[in-house]
Amino acid sequence: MNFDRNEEQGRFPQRWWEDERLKTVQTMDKGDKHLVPFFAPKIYPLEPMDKPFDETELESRFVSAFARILAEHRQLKVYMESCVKCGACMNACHTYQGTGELRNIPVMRADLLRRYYKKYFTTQGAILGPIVGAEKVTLEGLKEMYYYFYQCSQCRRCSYYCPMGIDTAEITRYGREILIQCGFVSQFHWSVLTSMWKTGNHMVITKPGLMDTVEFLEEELKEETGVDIKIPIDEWDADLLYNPSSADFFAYPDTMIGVAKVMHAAGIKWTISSDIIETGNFGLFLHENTMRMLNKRLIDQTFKMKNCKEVVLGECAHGWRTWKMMTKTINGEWVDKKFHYVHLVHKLIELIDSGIIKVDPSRYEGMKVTLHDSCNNSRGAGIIEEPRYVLSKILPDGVFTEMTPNREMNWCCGGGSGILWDDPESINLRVKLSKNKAEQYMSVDPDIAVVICSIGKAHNSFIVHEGYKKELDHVKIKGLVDLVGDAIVDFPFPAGKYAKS
Amino acid sequence: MVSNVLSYLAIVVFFVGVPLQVYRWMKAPVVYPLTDFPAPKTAEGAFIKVLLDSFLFRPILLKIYNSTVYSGKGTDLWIGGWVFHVSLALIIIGHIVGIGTLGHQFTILGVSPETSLHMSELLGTVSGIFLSLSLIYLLLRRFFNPIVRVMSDGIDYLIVLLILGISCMGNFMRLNPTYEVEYDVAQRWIMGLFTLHPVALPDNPIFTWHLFLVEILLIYFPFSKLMHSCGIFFARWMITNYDPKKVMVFDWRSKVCEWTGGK
Repeated sequence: MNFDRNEEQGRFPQRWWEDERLKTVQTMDKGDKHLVPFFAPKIYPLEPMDKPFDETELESRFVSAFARILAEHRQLKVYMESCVKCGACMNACHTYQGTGELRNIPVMRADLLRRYYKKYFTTQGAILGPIVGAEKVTLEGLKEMYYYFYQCSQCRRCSYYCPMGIDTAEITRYGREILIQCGFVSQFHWSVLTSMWKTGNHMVITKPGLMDTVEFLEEELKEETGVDIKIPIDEWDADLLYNPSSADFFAYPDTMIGVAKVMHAAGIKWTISSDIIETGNFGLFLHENTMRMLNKRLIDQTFKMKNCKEVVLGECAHGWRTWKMMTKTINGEWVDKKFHYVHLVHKLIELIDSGIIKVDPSRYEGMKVTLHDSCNNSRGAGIIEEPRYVLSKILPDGVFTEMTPNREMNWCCGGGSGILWDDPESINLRVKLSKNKAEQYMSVDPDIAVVICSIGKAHNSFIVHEGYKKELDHVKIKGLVDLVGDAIVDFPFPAGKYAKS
Repeated sequence: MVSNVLSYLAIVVFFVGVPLQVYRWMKAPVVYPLTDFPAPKTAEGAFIKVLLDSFLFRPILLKIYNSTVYSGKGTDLWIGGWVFHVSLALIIIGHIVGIGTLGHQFTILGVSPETSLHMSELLGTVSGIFLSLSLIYLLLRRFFNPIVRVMSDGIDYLIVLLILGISCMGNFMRLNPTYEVEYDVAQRWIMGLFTLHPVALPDNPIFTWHLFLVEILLIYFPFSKLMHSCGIFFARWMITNYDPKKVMVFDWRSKVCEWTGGK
């Protein structure tokens, strides 16, 4: 689908969701007309609907959606035809290691879609049928596919193991898109996307709510540092636009406080636009058109800030991957002409290296800090050495401990692709999915685990404070900028913030 | 029948089918970069990495390394897979070169035609035996490894059996003088095929079966998972290639990228 820049019409959309939704309805393909989940009242996580619609329609709907996606994506075609089932991905996946279910091995998971590909899109499947593993679409089969595709955290670790280089994340992503057109979607993902439509962020924060939260955070800052530190909202003459993750306002206020401290210490004229307090893009996980739309919206809203020189993206891993890797190819080459788009980690390096903010490493003396490489940051967008560089500047020697494996071979925490269901049945599953990460934490036994990812913070907090509470409750999950903010010499170290509980 | 109709059919299906399948892939666009980091910074570097990954099976080696370092779980795939592919490649090259030059290919190294013939035969015999052994190993692994067995379809066994049959017949002809086929006989038959004046097959049932199974394989090739021989380069290129023009890159980052401390 083609998004023309609204600038040509001489205006930016006032309410982006109205414009975009209208455009979506008009331009979405025929198969997308019944974007069922919009109307599906009751779809619980991991429990697909009993009867999404007339079952006779199922096959035609599935095949048309699949055909459309195949025609637009070379990777899916190649991946569907190139797997030799060698089993190299057996031990690559944390979902399999955690749950022990064979269908969670990447090749078996991909096979849930591949069996239909063989049936409807290959000669051998049409002729030889079950011998080559081809199957007809059934409601049961789709339910199975739904169940296992939503357990994939799209961490892409298996693509490092596959001799062919097959990236199962791509398969599950487009598999989920096909499932959406057949009426299956996780309620959690859908509620997040719905709140995105309604308010422009994942946490359903309205502008008055935002101002309230910011006031509260400013009070906290005053209490902590004794200095009046502002968190400016919608100041149109600012030089730097910070695009936070909406969870930073409620769930992880330390990150917001850290950013405010850093910006204040650096003397930067910065602001947050109340229209875009969300870096994240759940479309990346399950619906490509939504991803394009949300990405376009971020671009449009940043372009409103005429005086800004630089746009800093907050600590959100999949949001950063979408920004860095996808923006130019899906929304045009012109995007980075006007602004410098940087990740917060890059900005921190710039500030620390040039001596604009002074940090005092001795504050973290005697602690044990480790770093969790978020999948979309390290594997997906190449932020591998940068956080380590920052940590080497703000921590004294010997404090930082690596987990093994680390860097791009790091285990996913199990919360990737927004698997943050909170109903009681799924919580047991989440505990299983995070088994490998918990074992890593247990072997290192850190005081602070640095996670540069909003979903990662949510899920790692779940691991240490709920899932594996007995062993790991003393671990603190922090963002990188929290630690930088607390290391700045201008402000006192907040007493008790990192104390062992 | 085997010599004429099926041969032409196999040649046409293989040499038309494979490019058509590849063309089908090429037609669909890659919408956005799928790079796995850390990635080579230049296209040349990516090209070299793709070749290394493809021909050394580096990801499986990496898996061995990781499993020994991190989890202690052994792995059994690399030896079988790599030996199989290398000996298969040697045998295919050997067939083309050996039959093309009547076994005199090593004369360019300065040896006499007789020595060249012996070297050719020795190399072919060794590769053939390795091919069969590795195939038997892979077949047994597929059958006896409980997890690989679950993920296999019937066709996965059938393909291995087919190639195993071809290689065993080749070995049998090589090792049993009664059924040996000389290079010049094979060359005459192939020349006849390509000049559209087919000659009769040598009177050798093993050779006929060998040829028949190869033709079945060639006909099945474009429709099967054997297309991974082309797909590997597409898939690996997609996750290795990193085009800075297509992503947002900032020049001041370079000093961080060169930082290697903390390892």
